[in-house]
Amino acid sequence: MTIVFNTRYLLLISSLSLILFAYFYTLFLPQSGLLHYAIPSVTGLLVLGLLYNEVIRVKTFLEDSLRPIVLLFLAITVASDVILGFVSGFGRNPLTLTQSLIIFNLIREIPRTLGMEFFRGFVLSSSRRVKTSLVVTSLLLTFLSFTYTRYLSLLTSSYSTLLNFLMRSFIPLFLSNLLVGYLFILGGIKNSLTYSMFTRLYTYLMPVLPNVSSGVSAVVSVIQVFAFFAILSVAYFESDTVSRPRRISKLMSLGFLIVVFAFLAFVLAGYRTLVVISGSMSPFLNVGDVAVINVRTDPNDVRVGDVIAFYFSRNIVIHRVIQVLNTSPIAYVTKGDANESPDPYRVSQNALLGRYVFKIPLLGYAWIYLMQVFLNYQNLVIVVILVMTASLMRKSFRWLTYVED
Amino acid sequence: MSRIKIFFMKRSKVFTRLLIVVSCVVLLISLVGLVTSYNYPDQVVEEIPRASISQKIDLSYVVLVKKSLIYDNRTILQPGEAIYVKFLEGFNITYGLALSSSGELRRVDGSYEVYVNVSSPVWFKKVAISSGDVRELLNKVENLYVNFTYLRDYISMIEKEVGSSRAYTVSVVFSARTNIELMNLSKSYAITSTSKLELYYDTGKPLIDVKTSTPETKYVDSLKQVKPTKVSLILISLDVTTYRLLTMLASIISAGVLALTLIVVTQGRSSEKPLITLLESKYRDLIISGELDQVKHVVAVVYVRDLKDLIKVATMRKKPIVKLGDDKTKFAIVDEDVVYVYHEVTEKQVM
Repeated sequence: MTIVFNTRYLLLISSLSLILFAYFYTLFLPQSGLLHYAIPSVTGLLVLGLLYNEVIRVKTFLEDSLRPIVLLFLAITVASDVILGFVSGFGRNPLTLTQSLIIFNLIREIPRTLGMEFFRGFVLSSSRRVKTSLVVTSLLLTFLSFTYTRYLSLLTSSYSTLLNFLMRSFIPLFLSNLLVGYLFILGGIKNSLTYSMFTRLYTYLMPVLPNVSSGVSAVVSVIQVFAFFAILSVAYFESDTVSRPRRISKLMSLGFLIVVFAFLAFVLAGYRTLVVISGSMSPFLNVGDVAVINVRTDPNDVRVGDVIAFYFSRNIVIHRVIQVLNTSPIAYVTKGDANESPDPYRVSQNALLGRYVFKIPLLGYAWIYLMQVFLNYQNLVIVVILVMTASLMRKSFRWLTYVED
Repeated sequence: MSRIKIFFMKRSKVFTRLLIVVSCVVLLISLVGLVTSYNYPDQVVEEIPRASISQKIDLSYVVLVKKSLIYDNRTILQPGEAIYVKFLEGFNITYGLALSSSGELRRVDGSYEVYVNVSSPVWFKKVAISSGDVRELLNKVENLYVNFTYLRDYISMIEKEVGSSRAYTVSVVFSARTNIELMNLSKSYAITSTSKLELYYDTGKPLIDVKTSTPETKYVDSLKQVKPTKVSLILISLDVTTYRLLTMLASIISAGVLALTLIVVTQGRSSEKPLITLLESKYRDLIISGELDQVKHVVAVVYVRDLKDLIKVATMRKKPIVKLGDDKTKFAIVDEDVVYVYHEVTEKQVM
């Protein structure tokens, strides 16, 4: 044990205690009021004061070259929000409803962000195991971003609530924290702080934000982080010999790209796939089959005996046409092959999605099971991107180890 | 940052320590103040009286009785004396209206009523005696005589109709409803008062009970005013919300000053040992302390860029490294006619 170790250890303990105090103070002090603003600011400033010199002197080899890339990240963040806003509409940001709210939020968020970033920088620069530190720090800071009462409520919540919290709140923030940590490792505190502070201030200062659901917002967020890691990969890691992908990896990437492009071409050609989840059309269509539907079907071309997909309530139904009513608009009488009687409603041509083309047997089982686990496609996309980001990070860590050597 | 650093450099260490202590104290006091301020409510509701009015019907009586030994041949009894039914003739009641208000009266009107309620467990009868304008009673005394002999005859007549009882209650009720307007107030107040004289009469008992009740009716008109809670801060009384805001700002500013002071004070003091110290510690067997006097016949002075290189030379040539004087960053090796020198100027840590 040396004095050096003790000093850094003391700094770590002190700053961590301050951060944990700011997180748990509501256990023994009033939860509302100005304390909500004062305590995070005060602890953030004290952590900054304790760790500033320990972190600011850390020099990294990419400090200057990373700056334009960080600015590019920020520009992408803003641009993606603008595009999303134009697609789905803009909504008023509730955090910017009044001037006093903006000022109070800034009073709290700026010192808190400073404290958190210097704490992250201190841990990452002190540890010999950078990878472990990065993951642990990111997990800790993500954990501290949600109130403990939220975690307590999750203990008694349903599977869907728990999963949605993980996928839509925890993982996007965790990935974002990983990115900020990585920016610190590559470019020092200036770059990580620029990115972190900008994204924080952006949330608290933008008067309007895209009016999208939490699921879409989470998907966009994880795609952004993945894209940023990909940009870093292209900018630094790909050019290096150590990160040269192996042949099998190359083939897998190629295969993945082919599948993605084929699917895109398929969709653009006017086809859509639907997974059969009920046995009403058995044995023609069984549970787990994937039905391919031509969405460019002319309602006048639909004949008796055709199998069509149509919207009913909020679901899509695939049934056989048993009668075409030449009303205006055209309507169809439908029936499931396994049902004894026709459907008790008429399907209008406006509800028609398309005509069945062919099926891929059993392939849909995978989708059904995936949906049982992930509940919706957004959560699935988030997990896939999480895995892809982890893969990119592995590559970047190999590169980092090489450069350090 | 450099300007702040110069500011601190110009000040003594005492000043810096004082600044740290003061900012710590201010931080603690302001945080404690902020926390404790939440023990007080944001505001309190106060009632401010606008007007107060009180009204009372004053009542007094004397009892008229027949001459008898028990009363020493007196015919008038004062309240509180025992009244025997046998000798009772009647009551002489005096009454008047007393009105008082917080402000000057502008207008008074209303009505009064005097009546007698006679009741037994089986019947009830109300007999009106008199009525009129309250102004007739205001600050005056009126008389009413209740003839008990006549009252007993009256009760007997009723009992012939409805049946007899043993006990009776006779209440002489004085009621006044007054409308009042005060100067400087456009509002009108209505106030009602009732006074009573009650007789409890049981045919099986020789004595009769008499009770009077003359309650004062009070009406207070007040405004409800919401006032922010006041908290005193160093002899200054402040609204609790202002106090909270000030303590919050004080805590943040003092934390900022404390952080800035810590940053400037600890600048240059790294908790991590510099590389040179580590090397010096590792190769302490090779390093001696001393001074270089005049070294003659020097052919060359080699300035090495790294202490590691100097260590390499010392190991290869089997010469000691001389750590020069008090300068902790200057080292030299004298190898016959060549002097190797290392002088560390700056050090940067590279991750």
